[in-house]
Amino acid sequence: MEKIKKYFKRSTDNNNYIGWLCTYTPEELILSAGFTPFRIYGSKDYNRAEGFFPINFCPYLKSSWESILNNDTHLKSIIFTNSCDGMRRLYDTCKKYSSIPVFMLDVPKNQNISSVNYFEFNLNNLIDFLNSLGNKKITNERIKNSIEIINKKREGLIKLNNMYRNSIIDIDTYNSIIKISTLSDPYLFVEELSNYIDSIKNVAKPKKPNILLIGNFINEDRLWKLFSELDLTLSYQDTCSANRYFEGLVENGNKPLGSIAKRYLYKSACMRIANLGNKITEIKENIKKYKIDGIIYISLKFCDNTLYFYPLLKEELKDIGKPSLYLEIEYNNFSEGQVKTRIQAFLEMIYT
Amino acid sequence: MLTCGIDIGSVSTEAVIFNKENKEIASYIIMPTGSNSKTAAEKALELACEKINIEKDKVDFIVATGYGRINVPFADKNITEISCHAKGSLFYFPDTATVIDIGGQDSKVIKLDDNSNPIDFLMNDKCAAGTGRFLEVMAKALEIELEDFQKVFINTNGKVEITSTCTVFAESEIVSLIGQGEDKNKIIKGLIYSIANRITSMVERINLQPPVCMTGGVAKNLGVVKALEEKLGVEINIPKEPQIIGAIGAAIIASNLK
Repeated sequence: MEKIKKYFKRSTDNNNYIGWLCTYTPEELILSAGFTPFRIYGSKDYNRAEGFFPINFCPYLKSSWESILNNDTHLKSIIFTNSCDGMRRLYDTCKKYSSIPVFMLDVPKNQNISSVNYFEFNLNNLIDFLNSLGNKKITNERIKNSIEIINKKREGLIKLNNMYRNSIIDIDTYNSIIKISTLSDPYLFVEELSNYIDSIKNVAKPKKPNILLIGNFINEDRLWKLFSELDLTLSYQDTCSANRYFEGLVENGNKPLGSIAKRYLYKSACMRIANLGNKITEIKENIKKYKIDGIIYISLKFCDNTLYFYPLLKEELKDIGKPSLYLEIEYNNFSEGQVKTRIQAFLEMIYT
Repeated sequence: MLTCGIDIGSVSTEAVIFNKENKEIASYIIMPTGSNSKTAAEKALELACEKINIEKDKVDFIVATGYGRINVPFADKNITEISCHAKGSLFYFPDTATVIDIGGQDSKVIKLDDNSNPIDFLMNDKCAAGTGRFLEVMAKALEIELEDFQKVFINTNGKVEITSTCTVFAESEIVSLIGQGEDKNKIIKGLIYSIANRITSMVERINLQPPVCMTGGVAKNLGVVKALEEKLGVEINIPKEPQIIGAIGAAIIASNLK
C-alpha cells in the first residue's frame, strides 16, 4: 500500500470523516452532509478491545473497536448497519463506551419494492441524523452531486479491475487502491485515480489460472503480496473489500433516495443478506463470465454466516467440476507459510 | 537418468535419488533438519549421492518439497508436500484413494480421484497436537522410548482417557496422572487413542475413501496405525519407509518434469 499512496496524496489529506464499516452504508449521503466517508479498517493490535467481547467474536469488529477507542482518526460520527449480529453488538458497545455519535441503519434482506420503500424510509432517518451533526444541510441537489461522483469512483475502480485482470497492475496495487478509495475525498480521488491510470503504460499477458475469491472482509496486505507472487489472477473478488463494494451504479434520476435504496439492496450481497439459492446462482454466473478455473473461499474466523455457507457451496461446485479451497484467517494476522502451502497445493491440483 | 527429491520437514530432511529408467529408488537418506533448512537440504543431497558413489552433477533434476522447499537454491523446482505425498504413495500402492500424512508438525489428509490426481486436501493449522513432535514430548514426559509405544499399545488392556488437546496441557495432564498412580502403559494407550481421534475427525471431514495409505514419520508407530485402523474401520497401507514418501514423490515428479 505504501508504494501507491504517493499517487493519492491530496485525496487522503482530510480530517472531516464519518466512519462506516459495511458496504450497505450509502457513502452518497455522508458526502451530501459535507463529510468524507471513511471506512474503518481497525488497529493492527486489539488487546484493549479483547476486554469488551467474548473470545469468539468477529476479529474485524474487535480491531475496529480498538481504533474507535483510540479515536486516532478523529471521526465525527460512525454509521453502523444491522448487517450481522456482531455489528449490532459493536454499535451497542460504541453507544455505551464512546462519546462519538452513532447511527444504526436497518438494512432489509429482501429484494422487492416493499424492501426498497422501507430502506428509503430508513435512509430518510439517516439524513435527519446527518443533518443533526450540523455540517452541510442535505438537499436533493447535494445528493444528486454525490451520486454522480461516487458513480465516477465506481467506474474508475471497474477500469482498474480490468487493468488488474490483464496483469497491467498487480493484485497488491489493485487492492491497495480500492482501500484508498474508501479512505479519501471522492472528488479528489476520482481525479487522482484518472491521473494514475493514465500514467500506467505497461503491457502484460494475463496470468492463469482464473480464480474466484469469495469471502467476507479481507484486508491483509501480506495476503495480496503472496497472491501477486503466484501465477494466478483473482478474476473476481466476491468480498466486502472488493467487487461487492464498488459494483453497481446508482441511477441518477428524479428520485435520488429511491435510486440509492435500490442500488444498495440489489448489489451483490454478502452471505448474511443473500438468499443462498440466489447467491449460488450468482456465483455460478460469475464462474462462467470470468472463465473461472478454481474458487478460493476465505473467511475471517467466527463469521458464522460465511462459514455455514461453504459446505453447501462446496457440494454445488463439485457438481460442476470446479475445485475449491477453504482458508480461514484472523484479521491482520495469518500464518504466511501455511497459507502459501495451501494455495500452491491448490494451484498444483488445478494444473494436474 | 537420475532425479532427486528433497523433503525438508520441520523435524527431519529426506533425500531420495530415483532412477527413471528402471523406476527404482537408487538411494535415500533421512537426517535431522536442525536449525538451517538450506544446509540440511545440501547435506541430504550430498549424503544420498555419496551412498551410491556419484557426484551431485549426475543428478539431472531436483525437486524440493516440505516446509523448507522455498529455501533450496539448487533445486530446479519446488512442489508442495501435498502433491509429493500423493505421488509417493501411488508408487507403493497405485490404487490409493486417501493419503494420511502425519509428520513432525503437520498432519494432512489428501483425497485422490479415479485418475489418482489430488482433488481435495485438509491440513492442520494453528495447532500441532497429534503430530510427531507431540509424540516426542509425551515420550519424554513418560520417560519411555518412542519405539516402545507400539509394544505397549498391543500388550495393554484398557486405557486412561487423555482430555487435553494442547501439547503443553497434555504433558502436564499425564504428569498428574502418573502422580495419581495411574498405570503408565494405560496412559500411553490413551495418548495413542487421542491422536487417532484427532486424525479420524480430519479424515471424516474429507469423506474417507479406501484404500488408505499412511505416510510420514508417525506411520512408523504401529500403535497409532492400529488405533487409527480401529477408529476408521479400514485397513491402512504403510509403505516400507513411510518417512521418505514425500521425497520419493518429489523425485518421481522430477523425473516426469525432466
